Amino acid sequence: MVEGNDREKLENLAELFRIVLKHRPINYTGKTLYPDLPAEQLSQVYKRLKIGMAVFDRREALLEALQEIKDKELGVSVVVSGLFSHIRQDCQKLGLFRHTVNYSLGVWGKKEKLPHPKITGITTMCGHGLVSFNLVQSLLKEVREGKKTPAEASETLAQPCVCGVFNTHRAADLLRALI
Amino acid sequence: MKIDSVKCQKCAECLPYCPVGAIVVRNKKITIDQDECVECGVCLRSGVCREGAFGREELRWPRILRAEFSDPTIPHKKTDIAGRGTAEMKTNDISGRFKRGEVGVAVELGRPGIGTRLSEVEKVTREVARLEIPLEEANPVSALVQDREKGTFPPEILAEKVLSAIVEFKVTFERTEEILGWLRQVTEKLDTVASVSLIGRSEPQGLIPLEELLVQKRITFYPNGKVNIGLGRPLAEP
Repeated sequence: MVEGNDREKLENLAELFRIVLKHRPINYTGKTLYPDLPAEQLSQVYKRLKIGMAVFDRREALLEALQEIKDKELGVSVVVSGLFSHIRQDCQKLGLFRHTVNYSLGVWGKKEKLPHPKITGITTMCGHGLVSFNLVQSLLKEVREGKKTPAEASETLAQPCVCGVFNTHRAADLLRALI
Repeated sequence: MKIDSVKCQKCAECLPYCPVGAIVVRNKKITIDQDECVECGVCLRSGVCREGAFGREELRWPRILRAEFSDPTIPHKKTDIAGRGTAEMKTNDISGRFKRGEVGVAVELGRPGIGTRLSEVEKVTREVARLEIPLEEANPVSALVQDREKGTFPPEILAEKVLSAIVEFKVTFERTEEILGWLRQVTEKLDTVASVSLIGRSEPQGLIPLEELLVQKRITFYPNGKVNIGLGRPLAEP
């Protein structure tokens, strides 16, 4: 992410995403919003948004991407989301220290308004809350009836998440567990 | 959001897409409950309606706040950041927003997936003001505060509903436990949910005092989360 309008930093953000996309993330910012946009034009999207996100299902691919980003010294802020134990190990491999950490203390307040945790386990993959509880229930019904596979249902669930941070592989696994 | 009743074929396939359940059937018509709709745009962007019946009206104050806080494709006017309108700790290596000896506190009302009226958000900003803690300025919620001493919003915005809004501030490390106890009491009075997170800055060798404190005091936190890995340059704090 880049704050402000530093042109060089925004160019570097675009370069960072050329590297990220080379390592084949399973989802990324722009995938659902601009599915037909060529990679070069996609980099313009990142410059406009000043932020981009990507999801990897292989830790090795993430590590390779981070190593390349580090070596290029792009100077853009990078945030990794995942298990803290994994991130700590990966930082060590990269010769980095964790700089700042966001610890979630969970959901407080009127929790009785929430559906079953297995449903929120899927919807909360979109941090902006754009994947609805009802959509999960509706697609789960279709999966149970054999109208959709878990993988197809997870692609539909990923659609509302404009940031591209929704993990479709994990969602498919969670749907399978709910059948 | 609105539905063109001429184009709508009443197939009802759009109903589950709305994150707040604002697409409803009334008098055998598919319609949008305008009081519940948070203007997130999911119905329109999803392309679920083959007839193209969804549309968006020009939004005026204060309804425009619904879209600014709920539609991640619309940047907030104050911060020029889309989504929740705040960089939080994502750029902390460069911004230095959270320094050593400080703890960031983020209370995201309405998350996950319930939404919140701004009156609920004001309940938290009022309490923060009562403790004389300044709100994070680079955050769109602080721009809504009309009376800084009382932490109050303009009355005309209180009924507006948004998907979520983050109240952000920071305290000294020593006040962490006190603030968490206070926050428990504040969130118990809410008519919505709130996702609570703390932000900790590492010491030079990567040790994070906040993490040590949470473990030591047996304060439960998720085993996963966001980590800024310090690649931003120039560093605000070596």
